[in-house]
Amino acid sequence: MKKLNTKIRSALLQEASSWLVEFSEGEVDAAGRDAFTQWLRISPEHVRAYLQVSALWEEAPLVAKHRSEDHEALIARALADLNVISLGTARAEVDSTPETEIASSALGMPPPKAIKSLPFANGHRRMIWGIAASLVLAAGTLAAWVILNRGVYSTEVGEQRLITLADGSTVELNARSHLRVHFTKTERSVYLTDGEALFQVAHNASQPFVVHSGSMRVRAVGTAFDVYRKKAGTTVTVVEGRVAVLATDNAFEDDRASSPAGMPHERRPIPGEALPMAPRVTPSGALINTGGEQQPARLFLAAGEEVTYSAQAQLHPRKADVSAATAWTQRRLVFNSTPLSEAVEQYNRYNVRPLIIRDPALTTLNISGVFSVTDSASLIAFLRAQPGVRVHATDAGLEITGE
Amino acid sequence: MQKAHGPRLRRYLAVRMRNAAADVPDLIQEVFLRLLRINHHEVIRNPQAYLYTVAGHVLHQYTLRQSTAPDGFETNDWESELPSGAESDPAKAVEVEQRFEAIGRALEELSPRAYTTLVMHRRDGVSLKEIALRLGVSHRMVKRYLAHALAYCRERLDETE
Repeated sequence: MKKLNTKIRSALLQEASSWLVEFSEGEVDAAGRDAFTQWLRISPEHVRAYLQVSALWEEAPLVAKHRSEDHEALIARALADLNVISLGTARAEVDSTPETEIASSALGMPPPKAIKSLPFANGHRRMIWGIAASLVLAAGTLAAWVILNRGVYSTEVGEQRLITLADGSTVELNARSHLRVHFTKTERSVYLTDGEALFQVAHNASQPFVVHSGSMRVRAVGTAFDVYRKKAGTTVTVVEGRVAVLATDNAFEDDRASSPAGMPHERRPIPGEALPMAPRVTPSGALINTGGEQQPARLFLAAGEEVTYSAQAQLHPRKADVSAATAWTQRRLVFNSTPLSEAVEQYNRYNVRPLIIRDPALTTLNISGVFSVTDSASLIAFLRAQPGVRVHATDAGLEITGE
Repeated sequence: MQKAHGPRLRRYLAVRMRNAAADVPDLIQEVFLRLLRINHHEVIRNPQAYLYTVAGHVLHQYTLRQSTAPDGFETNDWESELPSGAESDPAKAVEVEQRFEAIGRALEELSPRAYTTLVMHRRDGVSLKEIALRLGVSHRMVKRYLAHALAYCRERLDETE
């Protein structure tokens, strides 16, 4: 909590302060009050920021009363500064002030505007991203231990493992996951047969690191990326550097990698017409190479991008919510307009007593929030607070029903 | 009614939060959970005052757990302007002094406009509309100066905590 990344923290404080000023001016209408309530309910960090800024609001006069400047002096000083700043910007009024630019540009977002034009969804998404980002940054410092046993690694419900491979690469393995490692002279192969893993790959250009997940392969030389094999398909999220994502020859066949052996597939070239993807330009401008007759389909992903492969969908690289994708390494569940079915799938990785959706209509309900994986009480309270959602404890687990 | 309650609760919280400093993260978690439990949040007419009330209760209960001696702060603290009394512990008093010094240093670092706005509004109660008029900028702009001043000072406090 205390290690929240400073950029994120700074943006949070800026939002909290903007709300406080709006309330203080008595300018929050019904929609604004609702938006504020939603904002507070995003995470404890939001509540903390607001309460801290509130305390400061009361403390500021206690400190400022010892200052002797009178109004004339204060105004003169401010005006002198304004004149300097507004040279060449006749419309300084509508431009952001330098200080707000500094405060917010760190996150690559526009400076906060009036509350009315700062829709909840906007700040919300940014914050979810932000909180997760801070967690991810901290993840890099995790101590590693070496497991000399090469071969198979798996985790149980709620268990996570950090594995250092023979080449110095590290793998963080999420709960309920299964991984097989097979290094040869020319390739470092890893088979993710279930679950999710975050790879931090040691650089070695002559021996590429290749992660196989179902009919997808991710090839890297030295980089960091997350591979999440869920029911609906595999998602690759690049944290650092670049990776090549390749569709293997059995792209349209059954998922052989889920077989117990999880053996490497023979990688024959696939004909161009069978490619499950079309040429595209990724957000970073990287061109997707659809490959020739002799090559598998591939696309390049840069840091901050992700792609989900499933039998039904084409590969669509998109801007990634990198931090949300890797928040699990901090034992956090980050939902950002996440369908309930997926949220439940994630939750159940950590908890022996599963959540079960009994009402099919609810699977598409989108939820947002940040939760600790060990704090099921918060998530359940959160679900119960959703309109039209009930959670009952039964012998089977925690059943979610509609009203 | 709402207008009168907000600031009093807030002053109470400011004192309580300083006293509970080390345990604040846990208390915040509790406040957050309580906020999640409200089902019909749309009916809350003043969410800010509601937040302060919930936080006030959580901090109150914390204080009761902490001290075996009768506390008797309740109404007195809600009314008090100054953080005295509650900080009778000398070690706490030093902490508070350091905190206020840190706020003072942060004020010095503010841009002149943010500084002027904060001091005139919070020290002397000059309305933001009047400050806007005297600086020749919009009300919206002055609100931004003020929000920035708060956020910046709070961020600087993070470094000392």
